[in-house]
Amino acid sequence: MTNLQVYEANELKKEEWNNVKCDKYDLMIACSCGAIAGLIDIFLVGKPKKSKLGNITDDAADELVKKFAKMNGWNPRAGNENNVGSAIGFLERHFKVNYDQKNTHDVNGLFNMSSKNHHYKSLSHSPDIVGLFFSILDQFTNKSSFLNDGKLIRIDTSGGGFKLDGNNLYSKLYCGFCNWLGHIMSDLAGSSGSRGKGLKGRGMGVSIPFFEFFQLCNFGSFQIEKDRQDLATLMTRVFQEGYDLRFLGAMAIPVFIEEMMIKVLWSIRNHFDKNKPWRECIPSKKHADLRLMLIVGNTTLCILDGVDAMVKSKGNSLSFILHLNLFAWFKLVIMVIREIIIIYGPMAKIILNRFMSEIIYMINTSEQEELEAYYNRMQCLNEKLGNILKEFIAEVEREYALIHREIEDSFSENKTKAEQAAHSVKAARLCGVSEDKIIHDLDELDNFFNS
Amino acid sequence: MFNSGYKKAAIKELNKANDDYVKIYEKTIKNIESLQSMREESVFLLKGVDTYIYYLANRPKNFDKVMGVINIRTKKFDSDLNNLKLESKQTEKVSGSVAGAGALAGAGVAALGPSAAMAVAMTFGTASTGTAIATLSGVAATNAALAWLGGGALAIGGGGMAAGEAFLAMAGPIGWAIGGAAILGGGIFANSKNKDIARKAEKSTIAIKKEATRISGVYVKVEGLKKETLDLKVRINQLLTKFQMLQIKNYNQFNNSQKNDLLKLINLSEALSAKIGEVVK
Repeated sequence: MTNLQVYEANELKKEEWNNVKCDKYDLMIACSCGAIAGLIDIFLVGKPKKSKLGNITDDAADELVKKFAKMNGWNPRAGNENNVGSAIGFLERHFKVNYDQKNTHDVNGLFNMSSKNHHYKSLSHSPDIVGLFFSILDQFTNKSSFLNDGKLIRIDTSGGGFKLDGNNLYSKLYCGFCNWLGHIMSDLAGSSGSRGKGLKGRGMGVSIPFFEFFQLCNFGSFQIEKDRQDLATLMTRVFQEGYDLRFLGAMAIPVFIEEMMIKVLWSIRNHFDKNKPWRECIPSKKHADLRLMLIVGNTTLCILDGVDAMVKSKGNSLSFILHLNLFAWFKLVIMVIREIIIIYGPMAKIILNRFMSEIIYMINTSEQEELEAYYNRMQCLNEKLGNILKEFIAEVEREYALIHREIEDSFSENKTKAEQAAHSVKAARLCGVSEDKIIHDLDELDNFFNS
Repeated sequence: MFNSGYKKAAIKELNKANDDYVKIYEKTIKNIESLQSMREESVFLLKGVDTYIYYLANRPKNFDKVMGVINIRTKKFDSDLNNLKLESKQTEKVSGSVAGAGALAGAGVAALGPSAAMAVAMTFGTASTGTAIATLSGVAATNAALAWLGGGALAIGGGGMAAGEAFLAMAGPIGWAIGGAAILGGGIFANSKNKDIARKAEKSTIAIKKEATRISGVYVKVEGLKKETLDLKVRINQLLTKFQMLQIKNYNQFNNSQKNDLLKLINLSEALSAKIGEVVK
């Protein structure tokens, strides 16, 4: 086969893959897998603290923390080998950072924070690229960055005695990265205080990646028991209820199972039912029918999850989100968007960008308010200064009009010469000439010349 | 987003305020120069009145005491002008420009030439061109407001956004996640930075607008002085020409009508002299 023939064959294959459509059996498989995953989600994931799969991911996180601590030299005393609190304590001591303020008192009362949400409010505690960025920045600048009420707050921590190790920029960056990772590992399964021997709680872990951005959403009004709160507050309470990185692991399990089942069944069916060679049955994003099956499966999972969350929450937004599998929903949104882009091409990207811009613009209501307040302030200033200037212009014009009238009257043909002279006296007065320098009448003029 | 709208609006308004400020500043300088030229012509005219009265027979014994006020004022005017000319020349030799004339270079105001600087100094009644220009432009207030305007205020912020957008161009959820994170991460940082810039810009705008209003006041005042000076100058010139054409050299030869005109001439000359000496505060 020549290169051209290979190329043409590949193109034909691509076209075939792109145009292949699901039949009713594919859709049934996808729905069934989604339903199974949905049931797993409802009965085994549920909500934090009361989740069977959550307990497994919590234990896995504990094991991970212990292994990480051992890798870094944790050498527990006899009987303490399984004590995650001891491992956490070790990591806390070895990966000290300057941005670990735990409550309102630690941030000098600048905003409300407690040990239950400080991992969420502190940007550097986020296990994502934003967290890494702020962690390095905070360590280099000796500051601590928090998000609260839609605002970024940075506090000075230079008096805390923290010093970033390293002799040059690269070594400091490396140490900063290690501190960030190590500190996140120390917080992943709660703190040493909350996970000590004999304690049963799961402690406060670290937030789900990019979850911190919900704190910018200080808008909306959501029912939480008897209160109504904005989205930022709602999500803070969601985190406080244990909706953290460990629970994300639990939420990912049904999604993973659903995806695996669909992919396996799709491969088997393609090979045995459609008689395709195994190499063409490797699941990948290239296959349009598989992509559609995954979307259908995930949609089924999300529908079941959503209905379950609605029924169990009974109108309470906090309970609703706690029962919601955000991982599945996020994945569904991504898959749908990707499919739209594939089908409609660049136009979809443009529409999507516009849509995102509109959303972001709507989200940013506080900025609009700020802008409106700014325009009002400027308008008030312009009016105030305009009035001052108007008054001054009126005063100057009034003064000029008086002088002008007296000068004109001094030469008015309708007046006698004596009257004209009297007006020149007034004009001189108005111009600020002192009385002793003014010649008031002819007698004074005679005296002036004949004295 | 991230307060960039507030920042953009504040900087746009600041630039507009600055442009308005420069316009009114330059317009006022021209007006001051025009007043100065009118005053110089008036001084020449008053000297003519002075000479005419001095040469009238029956010149009063206390002429120097009474009529001399005009004389003294015109002499002071000439002396102040000469001093300022001397100062301008000396400063020009040292720095190549008139002191204070380039004080608002940051605002986009052109440096003043010596004659304009002297006109400003005479209008404000100061002995130094530098002080006068500082008084007119409110250098202390505006310099602080404008110092940072040219220095990167517009360039600050937005880097994170650009980086994020580049990542967003990457296809797939990971690209979007990283891109979104970079945009939001950079954005959060830009948010407070933008607000900070916007607030500084707003503060500067307020300072500049206040200064522009003050200078507008100076413009209005100078315009008023010009009109008054012109009115007096025209009428005095008219009267003086009339008297000179009469060719009467002795006061006692004037009739009552002519005496009344002479009274007017003296009073209005005093008025003009007072106006020449009036300084803008």
